[in-house]
Amino acid sequence: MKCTWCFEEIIVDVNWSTLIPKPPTYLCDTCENKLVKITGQRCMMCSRESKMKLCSDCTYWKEHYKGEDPLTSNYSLFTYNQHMQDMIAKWKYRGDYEVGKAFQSYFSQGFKQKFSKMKNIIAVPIPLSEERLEERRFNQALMLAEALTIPCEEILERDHSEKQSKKTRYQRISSENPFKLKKTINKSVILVDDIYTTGTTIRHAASLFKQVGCEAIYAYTLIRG
Amino acid sequence: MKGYWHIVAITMALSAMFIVTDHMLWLVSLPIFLLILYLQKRLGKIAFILSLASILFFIFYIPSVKDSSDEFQFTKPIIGKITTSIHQSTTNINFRIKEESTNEQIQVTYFTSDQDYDLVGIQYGAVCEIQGDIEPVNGARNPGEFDYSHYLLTQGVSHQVIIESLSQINCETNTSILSSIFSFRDVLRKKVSEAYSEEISAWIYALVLGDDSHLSQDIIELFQRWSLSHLLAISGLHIGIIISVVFFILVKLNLCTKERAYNVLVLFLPCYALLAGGEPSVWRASLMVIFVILMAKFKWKTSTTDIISIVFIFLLILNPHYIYHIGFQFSFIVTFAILLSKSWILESNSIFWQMLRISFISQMILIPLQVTYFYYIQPLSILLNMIVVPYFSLVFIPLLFLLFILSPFHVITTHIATLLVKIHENSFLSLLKMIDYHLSFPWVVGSFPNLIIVIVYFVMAFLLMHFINQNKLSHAFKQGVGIVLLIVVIVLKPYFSPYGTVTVLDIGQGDAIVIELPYRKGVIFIDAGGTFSFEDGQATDKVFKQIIRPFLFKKGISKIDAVFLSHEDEDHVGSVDFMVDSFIIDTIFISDNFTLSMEQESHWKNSGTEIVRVGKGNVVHVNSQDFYVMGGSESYGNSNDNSLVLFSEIGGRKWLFTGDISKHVERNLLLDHPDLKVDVLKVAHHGSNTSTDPTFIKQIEPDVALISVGVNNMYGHPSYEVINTLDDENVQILRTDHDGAIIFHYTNEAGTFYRFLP
Repeated sequence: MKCTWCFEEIIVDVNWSTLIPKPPTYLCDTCENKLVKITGQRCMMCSRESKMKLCSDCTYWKEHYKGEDPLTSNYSLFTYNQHMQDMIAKWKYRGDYEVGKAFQSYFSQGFKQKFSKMKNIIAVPIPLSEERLEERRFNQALMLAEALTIPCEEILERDHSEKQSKKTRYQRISSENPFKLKKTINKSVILVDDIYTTGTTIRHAASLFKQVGCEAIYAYTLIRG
Repeated sequence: MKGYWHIVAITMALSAMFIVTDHMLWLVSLPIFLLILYLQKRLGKIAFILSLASILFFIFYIPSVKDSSDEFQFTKPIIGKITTSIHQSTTNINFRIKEESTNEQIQVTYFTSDQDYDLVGIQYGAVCEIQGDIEPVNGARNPGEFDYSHYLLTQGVSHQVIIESLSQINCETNTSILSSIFSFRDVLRKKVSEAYSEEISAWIYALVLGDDSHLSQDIIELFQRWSLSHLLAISGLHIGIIISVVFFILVKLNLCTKERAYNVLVLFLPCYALLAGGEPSVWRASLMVIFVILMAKFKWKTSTTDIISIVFIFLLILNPHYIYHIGFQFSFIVTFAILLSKSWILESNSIFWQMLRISFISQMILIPLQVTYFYYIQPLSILLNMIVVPYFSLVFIPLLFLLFILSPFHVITTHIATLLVKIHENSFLSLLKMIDYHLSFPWVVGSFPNLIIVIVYFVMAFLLMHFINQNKLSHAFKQGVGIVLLIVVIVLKPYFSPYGTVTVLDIGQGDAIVIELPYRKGVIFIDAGGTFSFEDGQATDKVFKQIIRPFLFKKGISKIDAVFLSHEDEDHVGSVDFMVDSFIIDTIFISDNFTLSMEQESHWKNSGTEIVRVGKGNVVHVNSQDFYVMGGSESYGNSNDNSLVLFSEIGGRKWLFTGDISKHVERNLLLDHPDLKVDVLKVAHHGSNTSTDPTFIKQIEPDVALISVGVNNMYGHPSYEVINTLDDENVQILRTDHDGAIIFHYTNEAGTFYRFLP
């Protein structure tokens, strides 16, 4: 088995905890250690590393929605450091599907720890527009959602627009809602995406579910940008 | 497959364990477990298939330990090829041959204390003609006793020949690489013995050339008691020193490049392994190093657990008999456990903690094996290892290597060597002996009740180390407490058992009877005979060490409540002196006429033992058991007749223990107790015709007669008159010379007799 990122051979370090083998990992120890997990104190709302319980971004959102924020909370696993940026670039923009597999295992592990107690809940991946999907051939959010143990439903549609990552912060926050719901549901929802940056995209999607009366709308993202 | 070889090795080890301990049904659990791992994608296809294959392979490959000594007819003279190196100790030389017509392995032993024999032609690979008879190998005759016959069978040897003189052997040598290495070993030994004194040579033989047979028995036992024996077996430690020496000579002195030095090591280490006696622990260490070098050379990356696993599989395929080899088992289990704990050990920066961790892991993982082989654990050995291991590895062994290399220049080194070894003996060994004397608190565990408990132990040890590894220390602490509790439960088990036993030990010509009361309410001895050497008439500890001590250890006994000594003859009391030193004895009961030397009295009393004289008419209570003293007060003028006679009810039967009384004392006994009836009679005086009068037997009407008597003893005991008398009265006879130990297994209501020998 070779490391998905650096292609070095992965030699499992056999110790008492791995004496009974674990399912194979995609990254070698070196590459795995370059990824930084969010640990310690974090914003309760958006998972950003923060000493305050509510970070400055989220205070803004709270005022913006005046207590009617459609998003219950976001939970992210990793910080967006240089190594992660390189990996995401290769995965999404250069279309290396395999890199995503390395993330899948972390994503499902993190889910078991954080969300395993929730019942009657579905995962909804943030979609790509048809044009973007045509161009990229896979939806990274769907890839992550499929790694989870709960049912995954693609019930969101997206209009084509400029890439989020090419917009300024102001453009993003003030943009129109590009999403539409294909059908109505009234369960709780976990929105799945690769990265939470300003929280606009997630909130656009969340507001649709809020309108149709979903109880709680969580977001579960790989990275807090 | 890389990183997964340990699964194959563990599967092999487990299947071997199930096969060796006759738990074939357990084998089913292995494929199920492997399948689960495979389905959960934890195990690749190749590892899965190889592991499955290793189970199947082992079912057919592990040699069974069956006595086949009667199946073969050997031609005379016996002709065969020597398949081992010639093992020379202070008392004998021995080697094995492969008999030509049957391919059976035969052990050949020549007992001699004379060291000046000439081994003309007797060497590895030689074809020899031996004038001698195949003899049966002595097996164990008592519970707990070392079973030499079983031991040889596990090595694939089912026959032995003992020769009186080397003229009975005629050999034709075949020179081969192996034989040259072995004869080179003899040359080295000779050089060492010429250069240094006996003591130094003995240590060099042991720690450089892997032959500990010249060290004194005391030292070997001392090391064994404190779980230090691994230092006397050549293993990783020594190989490490060898590598340093070779490297120093070749690289530091600029004789060749590092790469060349590695090549030299790859060739040299197997030769050293052979020179050092070829024990599995040497092979393990050497092969692991060779693998590491080769891997680096060909740029194969793999984990150390893979390397040890491959070496394990390799050695076992080469010689399946290794699976029974205690050194093989200890060496691999400890090394594997240490490799698994590598990160935990290195987590600490202080050498002290690292040493403590290594010592802890080694001792903890070995407990099931240690208890299986020795019946006790020595908790403090964890600490002692921390002192002794650095001393041996950093000081003493390098020093011996140096002396060994310098032995050609012994004119200069002899005096230094003598001085150094004096320092070693006076400081280190005397410290060790002092610790042994004051701090030896062995925990006599007995034996693990069954395989399930052993497996439970290993699972708990695994979880303990897993939690430590994950830094979940409170979980780890709970597992640790659990492990201690498990051992406590094993130790306490006899205290909940409603069964008691009476064991007439087969100590040869002499008496030693052990009564363990139900619920372990007490352990009582009636006599504890010994042997004495004919040379100086001194009592020897042979019976104690080989029979009594292992018996008590196996039962998990470290305290004896009472010892009744019938009379002062050596064959009835000879082991007591040794017992008071190693066991706690509460009370020794002797008769009024027992002649006790001042020396003996103070020795016993100083060991904390109370000496109580009892006489006719006394009743002695030992916890829940009553003994009626029926004789031993009158002085008949000889020790045998003065014997204490005891009556007791055990397991619903009436027992009479008669010591060595003769016929007229029996008659007097009947005068005192005209209505005496007995179920079980310990026949007086080993079945001599001076005892066991027909009228006595007619009167007391025993059902069972126990005769404690040596095989082919020089007195001709038991006499045919006694046997006839007992036969005439339809008394069932159980005798130690035919049956080995005689065991009565009972509850408070009833019991059954068993013979130890089939």
